[in-house]
Amino acid sequence: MELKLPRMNGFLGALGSILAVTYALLPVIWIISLSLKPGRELNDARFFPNTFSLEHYRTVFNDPQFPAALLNSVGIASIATGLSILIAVFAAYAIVRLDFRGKRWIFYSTLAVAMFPPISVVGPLFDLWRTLRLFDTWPGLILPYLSFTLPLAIWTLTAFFREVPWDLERAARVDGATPSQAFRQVILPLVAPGIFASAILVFIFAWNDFLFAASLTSTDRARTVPVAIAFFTGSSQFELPTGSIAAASVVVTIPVIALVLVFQRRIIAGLTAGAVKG
Amino acid sequence: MAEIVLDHVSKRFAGGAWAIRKANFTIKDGEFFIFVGPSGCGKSTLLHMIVGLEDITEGEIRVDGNRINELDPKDRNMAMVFQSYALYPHMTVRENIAFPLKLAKLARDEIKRRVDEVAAILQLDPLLDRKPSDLSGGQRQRVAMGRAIVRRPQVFLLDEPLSNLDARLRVQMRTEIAGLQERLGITTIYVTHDQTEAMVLGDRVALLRSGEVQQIGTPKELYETPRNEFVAGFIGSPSMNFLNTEISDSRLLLPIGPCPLPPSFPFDRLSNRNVVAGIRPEHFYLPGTSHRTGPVFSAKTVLVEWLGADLYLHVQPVPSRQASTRDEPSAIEPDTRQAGLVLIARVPPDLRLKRGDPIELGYDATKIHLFDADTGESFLWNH
Repeated sequence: MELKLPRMNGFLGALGSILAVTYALLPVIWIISLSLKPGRELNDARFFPNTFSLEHYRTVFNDPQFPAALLNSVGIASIATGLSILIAVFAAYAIVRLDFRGKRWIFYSTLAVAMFPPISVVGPLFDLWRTLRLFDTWPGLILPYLSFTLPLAIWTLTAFFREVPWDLERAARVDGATPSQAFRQVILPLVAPGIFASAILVFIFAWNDFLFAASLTSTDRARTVPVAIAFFTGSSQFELPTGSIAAASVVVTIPVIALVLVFQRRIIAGLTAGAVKG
Repeated sequence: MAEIVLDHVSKRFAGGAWAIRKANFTIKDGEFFIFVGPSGCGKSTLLHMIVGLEDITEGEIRVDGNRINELDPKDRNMAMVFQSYALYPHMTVRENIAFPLKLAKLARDEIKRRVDEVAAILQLDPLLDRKPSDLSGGQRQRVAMGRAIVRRPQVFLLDEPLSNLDARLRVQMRTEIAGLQERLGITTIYVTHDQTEAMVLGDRVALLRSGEVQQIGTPKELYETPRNEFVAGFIGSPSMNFLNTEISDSRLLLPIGPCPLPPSFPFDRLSNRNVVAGIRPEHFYLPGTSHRTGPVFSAKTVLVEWLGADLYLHVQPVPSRQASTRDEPSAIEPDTRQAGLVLIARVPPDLRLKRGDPIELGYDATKIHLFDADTGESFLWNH
């Protein structure tokens, strides 16, 4: 199952990579640069700041709504990720291993859910959440995140479960494991790469979402960072909050980058190599 | 130690097809027992039923007198080696072998002691810290064996354990498995599709076909007194030659000439039946080079397979004058049913022959098998 990529050939390959990386990173560097410029130099049209200043970071953290939003974001995204993966692991296992009526139907309808344009459900959800008192609460955001990330997680994990030879589970049962021991000690470690991969995707979806967070919250109780940033105001009504927005954007990007770096080494393909005949 | 009784055991799949029909036999304590048969005959299913990975639809399996139908696989104290080896890829060899002991909650030093002991038996010591992906096929096979014997189970089950190895290694591991079983004395059930493995390893062999047990016996019994045409054709390599025939005046009217039968043959049961005669390749001989006696016929060589120690001749019988001088003209008429009949004979390897050469062959008439052409049952078995 090892994927052998052809080696990039010399100069053209290097040039291509540099172009791609520059294209992707330029806006990020620009935002970092902006966030470090003192307020009066924001419009100096320099790419790199002339003088470094952390004043925007101080402003951002001194504004009480930002730390609150950060807490909301971390909490909501983590809970949504945890629940989504938990449900998806069991659903995917059932779809791969168990025989039950309507299995295909369930499998394909999860995909249908993912094809729904989120904007089409926002309006009804707004009314529904107000009736159910879920408006402006954590569950009010976690629920829609779950329904939009579960299909992806289930599909990813189904592919990983399919790779695990059934004989391993049988062997574990014969070796003296209960069904749950076999699942936890043999099957789960083998689908771990799939779990980490889906967890990252789910987390990023929940972390970056603006649409639901903007429509279904109204106060600091559940407002997440992307929305909070939009509510930033300058220190006076004649000043644009460019520096603060840049600083806040840098702050919210850090957890995602950290998460990907920590987990990417766990996403090793071909972990099942050597289980059964080669 | 364990005696396994299969009491009219049947298995029916959800689709309604019978996988196993009324398997009814006893595997004795300490016995090396083989399930053999062509693919799809249900031998692996039967093994899975014994170990608890498949439900039993009807009947009862008893180990030492206790019904185990409803017992969970983990509580049956049976160890199994899978055809695919099924090693846990995320664990080292040591962890793989220790896994059953860890589940049994043995003390850590006891686990280490037993893993080391098994590793020594199977020569796995230098590999203990490797992952299965770093092992060769033969080494993986050994680890799978180690994981099974480390538990000291009461029954040891092997599901085609050698089929993924190359020919040389297969013979070597076959010897090792036989030696190991003898040393441990554990009741062992071994599933294979290879009749050679079955013959070499088994104390007793059960031959299965489409979920039904055809015959149970020692390899010698299956070879010498096959119960039906299927058993006769499956056991022995190359396969037995089958010829349609009739009986007349205590003689067999074979397409290769008439053959007198010894008076001990049960002629009363043979009358008015369509009969198939079976001759094993090794019961042909070259007249003149052997002191054996028996009917002789002429043939044309179609194919020569030289194996060093053996020579397999594929021959097409031709009507010979010798046969026609006898008083049975019908015997030499070209038999339309047998058109293109090719027989395989095992002869000494020093014979120099090539395709198309004529040859005279004799066969041992006392070694002939007779089967009912309609039911396939042997007329000689159980009489």
